Amino acid sequence: MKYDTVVIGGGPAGLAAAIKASDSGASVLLIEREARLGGILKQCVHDGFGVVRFGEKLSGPEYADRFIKELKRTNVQVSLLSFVTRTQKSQNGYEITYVCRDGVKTVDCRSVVLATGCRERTRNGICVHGDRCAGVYTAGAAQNLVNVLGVMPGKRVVVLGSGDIGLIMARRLTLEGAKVAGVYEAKSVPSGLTRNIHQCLKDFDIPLYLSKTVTRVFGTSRLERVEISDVDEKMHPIAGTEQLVDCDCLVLAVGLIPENEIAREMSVPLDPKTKGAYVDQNCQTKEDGIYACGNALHVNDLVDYVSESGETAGVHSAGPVCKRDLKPIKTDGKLLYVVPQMLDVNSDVSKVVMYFRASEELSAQKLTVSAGGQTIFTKTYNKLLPPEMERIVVDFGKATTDGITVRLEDK
Amino acid sequence: MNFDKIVKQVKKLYGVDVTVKEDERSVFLAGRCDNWADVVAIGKMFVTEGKHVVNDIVLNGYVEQPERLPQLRDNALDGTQWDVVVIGGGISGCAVARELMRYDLKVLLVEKHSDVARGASGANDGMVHAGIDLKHQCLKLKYGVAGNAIYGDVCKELGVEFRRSGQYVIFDSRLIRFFAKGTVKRASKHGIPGVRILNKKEIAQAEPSVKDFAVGALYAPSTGYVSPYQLTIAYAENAVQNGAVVSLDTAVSQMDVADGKVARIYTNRGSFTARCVVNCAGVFADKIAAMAQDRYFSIHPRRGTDLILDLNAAGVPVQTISMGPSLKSVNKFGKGSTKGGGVIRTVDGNYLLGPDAVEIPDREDTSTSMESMNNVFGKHSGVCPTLKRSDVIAYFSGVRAPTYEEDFIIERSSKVANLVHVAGIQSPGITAAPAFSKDVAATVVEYLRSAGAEVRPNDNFDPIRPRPVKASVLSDEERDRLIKSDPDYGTIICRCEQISLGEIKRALRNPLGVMTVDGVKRRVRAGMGRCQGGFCMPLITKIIAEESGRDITQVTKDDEGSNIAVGKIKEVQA
Repeated sequence: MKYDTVVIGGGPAGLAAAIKASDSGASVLLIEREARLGGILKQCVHDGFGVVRFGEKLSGPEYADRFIKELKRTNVQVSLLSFVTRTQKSQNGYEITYVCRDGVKTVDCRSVVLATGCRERTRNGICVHGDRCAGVYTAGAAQNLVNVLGVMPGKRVVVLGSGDIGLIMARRLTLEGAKVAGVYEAKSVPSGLTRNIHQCLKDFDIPLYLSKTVTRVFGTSRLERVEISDVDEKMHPIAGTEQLVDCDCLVLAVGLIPENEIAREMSVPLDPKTKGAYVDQNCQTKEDGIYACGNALHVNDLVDYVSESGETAGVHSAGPVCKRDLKPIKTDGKLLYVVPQMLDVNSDVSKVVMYFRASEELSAQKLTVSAGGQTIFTKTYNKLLPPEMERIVVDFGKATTDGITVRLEDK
Repeated sequence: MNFDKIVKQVKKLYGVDVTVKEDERSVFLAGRCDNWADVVAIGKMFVTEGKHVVNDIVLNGYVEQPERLPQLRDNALDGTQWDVVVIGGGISGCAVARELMRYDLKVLLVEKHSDVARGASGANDGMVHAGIDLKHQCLKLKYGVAGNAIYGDVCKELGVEFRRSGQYVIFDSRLIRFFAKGTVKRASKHGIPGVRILNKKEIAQAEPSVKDFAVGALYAPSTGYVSPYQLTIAYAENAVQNGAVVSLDTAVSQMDVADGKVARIYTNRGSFTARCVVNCAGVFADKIAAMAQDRYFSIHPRRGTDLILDLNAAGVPVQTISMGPSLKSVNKFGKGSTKGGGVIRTVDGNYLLGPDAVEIPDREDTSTSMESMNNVFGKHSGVCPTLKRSDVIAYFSGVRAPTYEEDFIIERSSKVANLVHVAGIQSPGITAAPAFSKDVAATVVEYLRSAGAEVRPNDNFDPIRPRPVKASVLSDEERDRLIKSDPDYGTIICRCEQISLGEIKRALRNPLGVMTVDGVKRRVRAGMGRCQGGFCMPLITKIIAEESGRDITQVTKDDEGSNIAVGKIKEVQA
């Protein structure tokens, strides 16, 4: 079979990409691993999705449903329970091999959209030592147990990490009757959105402990207790500060990592800062015809932005592969990262959507985008928090596009 | 023998008063000490030719951890009679049980955990040693070399992957290279094939990552790699295929000894008799010996931690390499309590760094710690200087079961006629098991015959255990055929390791009846990848519930009590 575009991943990014690619005239195949579309949204029964895009607070499944309905309107071919096993270059683009319940299938396409989402960091990734008992779960796994399988991962819970999913799980488990002993965060500031700190913790009297982490777990069969230690500014545990907290479940919400195994297989260069691909303003990676979007590109805080980058990738993946002239976008100052990392000056540069995160909690900041020594965009911020991703739209219109820099500095 | 001199030395070095008793087999030590490492060190000082050490020196303030025992109580085995009972489901017990099935015998293997390979056999690096570090004639050498030689055949029969890709000991000084000539000579004398010294150019070619500092290397081509738990499982499955009974969640608590024989064995699942008993109890082998009133050696638990490295880490070697001794440590070459270790490329394509060796009082403390992680990294990362701490993606610990003599004990008891000990099995135990299990089976049969039993060969013995399907390594055509025969092979459950529903269902229909999340993991690697089961654990829990017909809240991670979930959510309860 031949398609113009193959989208890998049927979560919010992939859905948006497939719809837009199809609307732009491409023949599209959407490959999804699971039995249903929607990705991780399927298990996100809490609300707060779609505030930016739809101006209303939807649940995860409701948000996904709007796109799934849209998708049905298009001619996009959807292959569920399908898992990509190989991706390689072919004469006119790419050859994608996947397995499904019908066997092994191979399709050709001109462009590929990687919408493979992200995975969670595990206890090993943050060096929680101790026993190998049951009851230690990543927040996503715990969420699946509760919201999909309808079972409780524990009755007395410690949450490590104040990222959004940790906060949401603290509330969810409380609503289901568990006692959440506390949310512990190694950083000195919470990692989740401010609204979630209020709605998930404060409203439910769940204590938040900052600059503390879990250093050890104890339990022969199920978890029995965890050891909590204070940490220093570098987040290293301080000896002598250990305290034991009884619990039968430890939920780890300690960060997300873009899932880029396919990108790696295809030698798509990855940005060590975002752990996603380097892309231009059209979400095209350094490899012609390969696009990346959503959480595979960089971990987003709002699904609305995931959909936005999916749409960008979708629209452009539908077009012909053109020769690009890529200029690097440099960062300066206290920026964690900026996406895109490159500008294709052969393509439209008048409405470039840029996302960035500050590297630390900052107040009174000025963001400047300059090109060819000229300032082309500035914006001031009273407060910037690393958990909250910022979005700007920059017109590079007539500017010289050499020496593009994004700088964050004190106002 | 007069131990006065050693007793004085102990007093001087450690300030400990040791009382020594002796019989024809063992030296018995008693006393009190403040430090566990000293307890072990003192024990080693009393090792003498031809005698075992039983070390009863007590660690002050230490409360012995209660043994982890199954809660299950039933009479499943009560009143049964067996030709042979094998105690312990590690590599030794499972291999012995399988070799016994070559004879027409009623064999029972009891294991206290809910799966086999739960002790040291499931938590080591899987290296099939060439035996180059063993200096003297000992059982380790005898069975290590013999085991290595037959490894390929055994793994082929049992359907387990085995790769003989050799090992390289790297030298960074010419003088050490010179010393290594002795090792080569010794290896040849011991019958270890192909050991030779590579020059700078040769090692740089074989292993480019060390070209900046390697002046040569010792190359042992017969070193191989196996998944130690998959081999243990395969041995157990083949034993069951041939008629053995494996009873899991079954712990021996007591034995009756009468007329110099084990007369009755008591467990949480009833008591039974055996004409012959084989003690393969690993870290508890001395406790089992004591139950049979045959205490003549001590096991001192020694924990080792291995780190698993990111496959994408920069500068990770392509071969298994370790650093040769430095000029300072050259005298210790081969004398340490680990086989040197280094970066090991496992049969699954992972890279391990380790292990270390820490003496601990608790036989079942397989917890990991920041300290051992740091030690392992510090000790072994020299061979791969580009390695960063952040390249470590996972880690695990296992507890080895050495005796004070540091050799295997594989013999019929001289006191209890129907008891055979397979004790002190530690590295190279995985290597040696295929060889010593044959001898143990022969010893058992010889005893049974001498006791008047007629033991016939088992004409129906089938040495072949079917190799589990691994869909991801098949060609597209083969995989397509497989999926068309069973669509479950086309549904991927573990995305990181590409394990299909079909493979998981097949693993759950294993002859041992193990239906746990970790049991699936050990059999097909589901949950061993990058996400460490974050995505697939809930799915596998559900599949186990469906396949076993149990409620999802009854599904366990591993042993009983390790339930994944503690109950239903509110709505479901209502």
